Amino acid sequence: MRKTKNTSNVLVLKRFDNSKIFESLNDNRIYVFLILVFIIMSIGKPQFLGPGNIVPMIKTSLLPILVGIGFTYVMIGGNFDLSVGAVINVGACIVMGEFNRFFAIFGGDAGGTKVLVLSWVIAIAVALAAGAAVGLINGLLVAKGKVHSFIVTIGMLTTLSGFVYTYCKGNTISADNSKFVDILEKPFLNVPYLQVITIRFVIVVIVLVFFEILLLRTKWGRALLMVGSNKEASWQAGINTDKKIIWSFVISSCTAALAGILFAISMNAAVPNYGERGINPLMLVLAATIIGGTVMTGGSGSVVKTAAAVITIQSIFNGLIMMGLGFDAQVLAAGVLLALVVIYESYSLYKQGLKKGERVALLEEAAELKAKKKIAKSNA
Amino acid sequence: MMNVKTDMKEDSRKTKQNAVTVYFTKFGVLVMIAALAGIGMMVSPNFMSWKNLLNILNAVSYLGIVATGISFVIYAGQYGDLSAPMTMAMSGVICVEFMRYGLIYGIIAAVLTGVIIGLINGFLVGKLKTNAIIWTLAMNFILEGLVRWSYKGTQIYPDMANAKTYTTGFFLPLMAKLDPNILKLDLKSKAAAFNGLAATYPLGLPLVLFVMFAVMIIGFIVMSKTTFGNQLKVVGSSYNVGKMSGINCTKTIMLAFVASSVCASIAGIFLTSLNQVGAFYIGQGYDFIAVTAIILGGMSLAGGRGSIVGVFGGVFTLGLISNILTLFGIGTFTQKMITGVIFIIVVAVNASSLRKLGRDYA
Repeated sequence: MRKTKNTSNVLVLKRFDNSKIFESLNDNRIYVFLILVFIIMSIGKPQFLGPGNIVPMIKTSLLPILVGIGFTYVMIGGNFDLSVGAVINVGACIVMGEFNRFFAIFGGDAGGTKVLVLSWVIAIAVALAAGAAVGLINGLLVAKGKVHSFIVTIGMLTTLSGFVYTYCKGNTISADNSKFVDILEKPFLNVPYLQVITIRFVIVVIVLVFFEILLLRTKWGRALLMVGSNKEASWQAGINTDKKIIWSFVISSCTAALAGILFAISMNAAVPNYGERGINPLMLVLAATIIGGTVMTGGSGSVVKTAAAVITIQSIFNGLIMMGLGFDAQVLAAGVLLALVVIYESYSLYKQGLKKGERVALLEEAAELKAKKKIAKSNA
Repeated sequence: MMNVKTDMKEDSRKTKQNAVTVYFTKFGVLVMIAALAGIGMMVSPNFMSWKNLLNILNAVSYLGIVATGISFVIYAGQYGDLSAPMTMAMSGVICVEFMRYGLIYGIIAAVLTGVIIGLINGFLVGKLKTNAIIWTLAMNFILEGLVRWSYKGTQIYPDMANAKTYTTGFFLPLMAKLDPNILKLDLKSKAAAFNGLAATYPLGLPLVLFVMFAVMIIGFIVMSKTTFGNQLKVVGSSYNVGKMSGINCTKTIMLAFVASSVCASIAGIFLTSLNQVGAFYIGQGYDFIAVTAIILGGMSLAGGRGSIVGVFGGVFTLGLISNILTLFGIGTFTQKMITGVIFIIVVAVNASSLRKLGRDYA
């Protein structure tokens, strides 16, 4: 924001005020966008606001919201994590496979509830640990090995998708005992609209709020933001930049694995190729993160805004289906939306880059001179 | 008085690579090829036979074409062209649509598609300085959406010519509107000509192999012998230096992206002809595997370092790895996993050896 000493210069002040309003609008554009989409869709199709649409819409948003948390963290640190799509499958397949293994070892249905709980706890712990390990490897290679994050994570993506197919032997895995599935998806209150509140929903909301507070209200989170905006300066300020970046990758892989775990348990099925033929979760999350206002070069962003962007995109999808446009139109819409936002973001950065060498004082002087000349001209 | 230290510590950092490292970075791919050939000979006596080597080359020829194109983008200092898979699929589909007027029209239309996609990519990355990864990924999603949306999820077969065919597609409905007699066109011979592209064997070798070598030789000459290649090297090594020395950086990067998309288009035509069907999934996975081959071939992701000879080496290495793993009886998905691990290790070693010299960040 430019500061003007010469307050009498009305022209400059006006520009100042406009840009302030525009900036705050641009910062919160995702909420404006969300409300706009809801208004347009509900005018076009009144049943859009009915519980029959809202509840499934939010339920399908839960997976990308969780993945978006980690993706936003990594992008804030100035990197990309393209491996999230594969980590979802890793989390999903491992939790199902390990549950079946431990359930069988502990004696199966004969063991009662105790065995069931124990098997689930071990399986979830193993799946989360696998996610954390992936994130640790990514983070170490990026932060300590100084390899570009794109290369590391795209290599990880291939490795993991090969691993998942080998782990599942190409099959769908289901749990041998589906009791937990029913618990996870059972709504607390059987009231319209509030049916959405299940244990899965509560877990996602808690994780979301935790990471938002961690990012924006704690010293640790502010340090991560600083690392993203200027690595050199934050290193000078005494922040352990490598550690921050490694942690951001670990968080990313863990949230993606958790998303896969919850999704697999709620569906009682894990496939090795989720999202390969349909809408790629990576595409959805990438679009949501950028629409949600996370800067592509890092240094600024918010997890809740990413979540709002996921819901926005998901409501556009549902609206398109209600208009009878079908699944293929969704893929196109998601791509176009992502492209438009990328173009808008890079265009504004390009504009900023043009202004980089601009000397404000000189420009003001020139404007004053011009005004004086104008006055002299009108006097003459 | 202050105690001034007069004898400064001597700078002990390395400034030169030792001879082994130099030779390894220069001929690393050759070493790898030799080692793999040794393993292969131990596994099977037929490994070094002319027929097996030809099979390996034939299997990677599509990859070779794509990798040559993408190597221009990486040479220009942009991290890669992730829109290659859908460029391949889209050109294949366009080629099938236009080949009903003659094969040559189909090929021209497909290559033009590649040029347009490359120009869009190049404008966004070169002029507006968008992050190449994000933009090409977005472009890939848009193209996927376009192909799937206009075909309503169906596929296009070269020899299919009923009334229903002309209700979906990019230009097919328009063609049907402009020329009502289009249904009477004899597609059988034209489809046979198109499908024959991947099954032609001049001199007893597949046509794709000749195309790959042609693309690579042209790529080699352009990259190392022409003004454009030199400019690309300068822009890739340091964008600002290129700008200060009066190179039109935007144009250079744009041309690099056009080269990438055109190569992807050519590969797409052959791959569609091989599969005898045009669909959105043709060419999936080629982006990553091409980048793998390029990096294995010693091209630096920081740009401006490497050569097409290295790219050929990388492509051939991948073919050898796949062949040997198949001889060992290892399945496709495990092969994928092993390739990924090799890729990560090679990149990490490469980056760390360059970093010890304080030379590179990629």
